[in-house]
Amino acid sequence: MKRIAGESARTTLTDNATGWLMVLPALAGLVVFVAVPFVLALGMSLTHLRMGSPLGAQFVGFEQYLRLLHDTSFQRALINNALFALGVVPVQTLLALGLALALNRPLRGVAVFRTLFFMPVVFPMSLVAVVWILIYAPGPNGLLNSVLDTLTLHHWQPRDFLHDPRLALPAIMLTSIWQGAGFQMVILLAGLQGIPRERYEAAAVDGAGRWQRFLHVTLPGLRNPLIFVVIVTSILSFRVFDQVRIMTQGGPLDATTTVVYQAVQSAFDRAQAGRGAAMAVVFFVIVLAITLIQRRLLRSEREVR
Amino acid sequence: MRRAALNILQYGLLLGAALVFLAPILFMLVGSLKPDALVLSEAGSWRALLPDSMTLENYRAVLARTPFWHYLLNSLLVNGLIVGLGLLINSLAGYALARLRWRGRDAVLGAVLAILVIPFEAIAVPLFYQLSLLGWRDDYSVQIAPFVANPLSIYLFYTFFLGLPRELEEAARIDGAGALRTFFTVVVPNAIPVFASVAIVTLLFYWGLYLWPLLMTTGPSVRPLPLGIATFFTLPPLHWGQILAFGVMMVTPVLALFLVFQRGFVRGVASSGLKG
Amino acid sequence: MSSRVEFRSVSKRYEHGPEVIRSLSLSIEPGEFMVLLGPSGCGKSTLLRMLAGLEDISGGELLIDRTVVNAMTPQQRNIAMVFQNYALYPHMSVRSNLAFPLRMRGMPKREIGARVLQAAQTLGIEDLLERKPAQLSGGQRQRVAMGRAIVREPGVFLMDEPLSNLDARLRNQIRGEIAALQRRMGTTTLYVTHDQVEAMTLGNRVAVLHAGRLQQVDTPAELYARPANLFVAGFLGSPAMNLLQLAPAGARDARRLDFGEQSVPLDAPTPPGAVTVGIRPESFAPAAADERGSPSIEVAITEVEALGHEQILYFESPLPLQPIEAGTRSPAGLMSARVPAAPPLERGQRVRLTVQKNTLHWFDRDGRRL
Repeated sequence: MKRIAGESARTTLTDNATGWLMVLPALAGLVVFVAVPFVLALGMSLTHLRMGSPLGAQFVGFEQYLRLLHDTSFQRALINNALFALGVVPVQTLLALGLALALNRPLRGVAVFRTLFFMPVVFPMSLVAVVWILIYAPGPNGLLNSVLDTLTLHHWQPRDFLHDPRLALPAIMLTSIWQGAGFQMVILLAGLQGIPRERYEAAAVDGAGRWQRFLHVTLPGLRNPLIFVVIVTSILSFRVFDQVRIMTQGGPLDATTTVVYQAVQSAFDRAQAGRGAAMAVVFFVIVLAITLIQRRLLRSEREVR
Repeated sequence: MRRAALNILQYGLLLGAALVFLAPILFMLVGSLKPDALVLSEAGSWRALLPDSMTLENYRAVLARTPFWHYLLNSLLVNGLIVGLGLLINSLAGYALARLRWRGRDAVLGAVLAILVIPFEAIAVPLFYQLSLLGWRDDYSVQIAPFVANPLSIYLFYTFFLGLPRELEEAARIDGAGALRTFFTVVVPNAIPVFASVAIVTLLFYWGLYLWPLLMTTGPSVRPLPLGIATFFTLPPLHWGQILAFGVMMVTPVLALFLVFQRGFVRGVASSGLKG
Repeated sequence: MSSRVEFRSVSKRYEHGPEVIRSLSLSIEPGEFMVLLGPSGCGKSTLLRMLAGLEDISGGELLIDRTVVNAMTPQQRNIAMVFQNYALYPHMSVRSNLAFPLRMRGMPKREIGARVLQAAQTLGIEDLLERKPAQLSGGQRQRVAMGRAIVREPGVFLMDEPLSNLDARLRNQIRGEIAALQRRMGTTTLYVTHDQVEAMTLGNRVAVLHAGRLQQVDTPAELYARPANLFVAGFLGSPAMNLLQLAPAGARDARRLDFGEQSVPLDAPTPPGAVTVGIRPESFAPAAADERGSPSIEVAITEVEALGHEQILYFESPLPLQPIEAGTRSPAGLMSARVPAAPPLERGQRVRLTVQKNTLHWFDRDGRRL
């Protein structure tokens, strides 16, 4: 049996029965509620299964997947998720980094700001979605419309954000950024506070100015938290569901549909269990691929202080 | 003097950002206190954030027309059990993986890490199908059971216990305590931070869970708060004031908890992130 | 290319806080190795950081080569610093760590390469150039930190307790290397430590600090032989100097030193105004057996520490002992004496000790040397 790092023979006693006993409830839960449905999804995706009945369970090979390949809505969903990730990840990360940097200088009242920026994270997404429907209200009375009108000195035409095929997805992205930035900020702030002050001082004595210290001390020190935050946010971008279901129902004209939304629609609204399962499998493969690719590209090193 | 200028810049940036983050929250709060008709019509003006008059009528209406307390109770019950039971079984598993030697341990650890990669949405549909076939829907247990065992929680406990100094456990073992007794009497009291972190991270995620109850429940008898607000939209006309009032009441428990245990929340999220 | 440093009545206070450095004046000559010595909290690190530009100067002037540098940033001062925890850049190789200060100054690449190699060879770390700090031992990291300092050939080296994180043997070894290095390079060095041995062996001169005030600046020998006040007297030397309170001037014989019921005749009379007398443990010697009539005192040994090359005797003090604020204190108000290893002595034994002539230190009411 391979030794886990940090273990020594003298302290880890052989506890076969106790070990299994302690791990069994959680393991059973994971198997029944995660592993089994996962395998089930693979199986279901190879059939024409309908919801609520075991009928239609003929094996049809990869037909569901082939259909998905040609399904314009599903293709649109994949594109939307990709756009979502490409838009939200950099913007939200930069915003969170900026806020974390601004909060890292000790100043009276900084804790209040930190609380404030983290507050949206505490709000359930379903509530956030509802409030932002109001904010995006069409017509000159809508909050966002009138703010933009003021900012552009009355050159703004009021828009119906959630029903405009070009603005709907950005609108949902903005909502997500608002809700999620605080989460990233907290992690980046903790990372910042883990960089020893001495290192900044050494860089200053070595002749590095403010920007150079940021480049050579701050960013390298933030490498691991940044990687984590980018990976998590990318994956979350593909898991988007609540906002879409509540704010736009995937529309207008599939402008905001996402993979998970499509899967739920198929299985739940249209009772096409097999098709929904196929989408779920595709979804899982994508998430796995992103995780692995990103982890490899940005190999996180362990550093010793 | 340079320091003073930087301070002003820092405050300025923070205030600007604070306004953007605060605005929707304020908007929601103020809107809930306005007469229904004015919420939408005044949304574009200053009165969206600074109302002329305030009223509690919306709150009264929500409590009268919707089973809000029932939704709240459902949320509390479901989440309480998810978090509570989760802390128990996930910590036991994390400890067994970190500290005990037993056959198959490495395999189980690998399995947990593998399952960690599977996002909930990937198995929501097949799980939905699987449980519906068994007729298991529309009650509390179906909202709790799938989420009690949680690979992320197990992983967080695992890494924490790995890092715990062994002396206390060794002393307990010498005093004759078995693994389970050692765990409950010696390890747990010294692991409060990780228990708090895991509880907070779990609560944050499941309090607002929408997809699963949507699939698995109908009607307010067992539905939690996130669905309560969505049902407003099925019955026109839209009473925005009431919707916002519902929202305010819905978020208050977790928000209150957050404001009281701020540092714990922040630390919990941060430490989970840094471990990842 | 080494600079002259001058602190002119420099002081420092933090917001809402007491003064951490009080009106301190100190000159460091070009090429000099100056040690700042003192107990923790005395302000020595603060003073060093003020020279580095990492702390603001509240009052007074700091000059480097006759230029007032109070307002200059660390980048603008021609200094290099070795930090206590090394502060190496963990994501860069040793080579990049050494090259960093030169890159910041815009030196051409080829010259950087040459300088880095030279510095690495001087410190014996040329084999480590491609490694990262995480792969190095403590001693190796310390050398890289020094390399980063010497690669620039600055006007002043600053060192903030660079050896305190190393084990004893490594400390001794690198201490010698630092001394040799500084002699070769001839750079002005300001070195902070709380360790007396480091101070005495490394410094051309040592500045003793206590509670933000300079107590004495002198060569190590002078500090030891002629401490300027009670603090310096008690701080240097291990075991610490025995400091005894004298009886009031009227109640004593100026030509004798009283030890309770016994007394020893003095070569020179007690200076007027003397309130405390200091006797170093090595000033005692066991009285030869036949010198029964010689000036000696008899004491009962309370404790013995046998160190192999010598013994340290602890005995009750007949006169009240002056409390010392810092430095090694003898256990529980006992006096100490250093005697040869033979004959071996035991607890409870009574011995006769002579006091060496001309080795007494006298201090006045304010603690100053007479």
